[in-house]
Amino acid sequence: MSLDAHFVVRRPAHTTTVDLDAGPGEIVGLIGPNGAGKSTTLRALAGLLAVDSGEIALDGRLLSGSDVHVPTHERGVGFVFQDHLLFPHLTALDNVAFGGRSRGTPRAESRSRAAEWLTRLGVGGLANRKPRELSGGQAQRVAIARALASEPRMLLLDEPTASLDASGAMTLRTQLREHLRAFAGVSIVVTHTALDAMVMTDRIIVLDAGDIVQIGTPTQVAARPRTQHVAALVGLNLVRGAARAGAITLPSGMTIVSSNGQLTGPAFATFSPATVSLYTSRPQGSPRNVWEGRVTSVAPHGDAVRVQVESQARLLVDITPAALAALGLRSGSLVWATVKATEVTAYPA
Amino acid sequence: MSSSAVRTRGRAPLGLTLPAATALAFLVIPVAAVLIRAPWGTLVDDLSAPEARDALRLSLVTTVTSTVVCVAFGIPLAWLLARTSFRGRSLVRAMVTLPLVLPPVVGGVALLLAFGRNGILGKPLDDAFGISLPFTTAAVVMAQVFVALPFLVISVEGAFRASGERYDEAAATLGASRWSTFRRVTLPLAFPGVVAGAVLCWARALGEFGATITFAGNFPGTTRTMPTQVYLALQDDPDSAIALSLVLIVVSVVVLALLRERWLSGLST
Repeated sequence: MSLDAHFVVRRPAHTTTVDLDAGPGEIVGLIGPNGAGKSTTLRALAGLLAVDSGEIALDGRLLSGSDVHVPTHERGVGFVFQDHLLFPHLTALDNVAFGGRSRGTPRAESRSRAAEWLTRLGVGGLANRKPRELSGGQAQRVAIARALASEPRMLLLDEPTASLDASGAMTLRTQLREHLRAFAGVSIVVTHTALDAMVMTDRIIVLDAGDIVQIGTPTQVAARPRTQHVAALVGLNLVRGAARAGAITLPSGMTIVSSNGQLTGPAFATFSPATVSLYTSRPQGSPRNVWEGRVTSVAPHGDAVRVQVESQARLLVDITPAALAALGLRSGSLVWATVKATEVTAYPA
Repeated sequence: MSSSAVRTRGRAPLGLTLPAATALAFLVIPVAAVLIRAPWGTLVDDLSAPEARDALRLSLVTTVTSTVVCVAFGIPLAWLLARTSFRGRSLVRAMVTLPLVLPPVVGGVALLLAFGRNGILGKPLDDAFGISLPFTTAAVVMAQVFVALPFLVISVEGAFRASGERYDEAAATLGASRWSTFRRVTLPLAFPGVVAGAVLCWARALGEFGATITFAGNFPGTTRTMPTQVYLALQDDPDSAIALSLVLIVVSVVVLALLRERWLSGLST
């Protein structure tokens, strides 16, 4: 149950290049901004799109290649859609039994297996409901049961928690992780939320503008993001520049001193918004990183207040509501931002 | 216009309401005239007269047959137009729509040239099997199919497009072949559209006159359908003609009501 995919899909708007191997039981997260090629990747793997070059092989069987295109229904690839796409004319039970019926399993057997899957996903009591009588979370569980009940060799999930509210998404996320852990084949999860990626996946592939820009464990990717998109997802400031003895100079001329004194060459630097302090006059003392800028927005962020500062780079700063009141900040205020060098992580770009 | 709209935007100008009222009157008055002049007292007798009865029976048999034919062949054509891409698809769609705008009498002429005794298909058919189609009940059905098929194809194609290809994709990821997907997903989802299309198609077949009289003629009992009977009876038995017209009006109103119901329930599900 392993996936070996390296292919190119050309679209008028963008080209997606994917190089992806995954082993049995592995859960791979695909993250990236809209238009990065996440959906294109899933659709190509499912055979809903033809590849322009390269190959997709599952368990050593060639699914897509130069002269090969195994149609979707013969691939054994399950798909959980963002908007669940349960068949509106069928009950939850018949939706889940659909895959078995397609493979020629007798009706009664398909249905009893479907009932088991519904129970496993905690929606066994909703078997006779039509999709329009289900809540978003219930419908998505039925959709996951439907995909798993078809006994796929690979499972593709397109933003499975995106249509749910925060608490519904969290419950589904933890539940989904258990089922993906129990699933013997490769799972690939496209996600927009850092939590999905952190909670569910073994490995994250970061896509940007159709290319893979980073591969790593969730911890690695979260600690050392290489795109603004991921940095924003995990809530970090990210800048890129040229490092010399640990000091990184940005194209804008701004310099940031990091804790990594050895680093030289193209580099990224990250620091948490909570480690940045703001002053309304130039701070005295010896902070190494001091930047002057203007506040462009102030908004609540959890228990804190997130202040966006436009300096020679855009900075995200989290301060307490008390600090906000004391500083009297509002959009347009002139501020100085400081961050200790020890709070700045730098790594090669 | 609601009263609040009147208050906020002022009354509709006379320059618009007057022509609008005239247009409406022009559409309503003729139908009202049929109702006013209808021989209510002798209606049952008029309709059960042998000629009227034959026409009613023939119309019922032929229109049901032609609707079944349209459904059987039109749904696959609608599917091809909605779900596949091939060279010349827009040309195919144009040809499907052509009978909608073609004068029916021209359709009759075209059918004669194709399936008539000396037609491009009719002659070999006659020579090889001795089958002659014109001026038979089969010809009535063919004329009706020719004019009514576009109604079915267009409304079913619209229903296929409206239900979207994504459910088909979901079915494919569950291992359903295209045929199985069509049967279990595409067609059930488009069912309201199929019903609407079939009703429209049947209504059009029922009213068919020009192509029928040209290609199938006017033989009592075999090719004289209701519209033809109305036209002929108007000369010497106007009461019978009006009675039959009344039946056709009632059928039209019922069709309209059915479609509206269908359309509304289709929206609410």
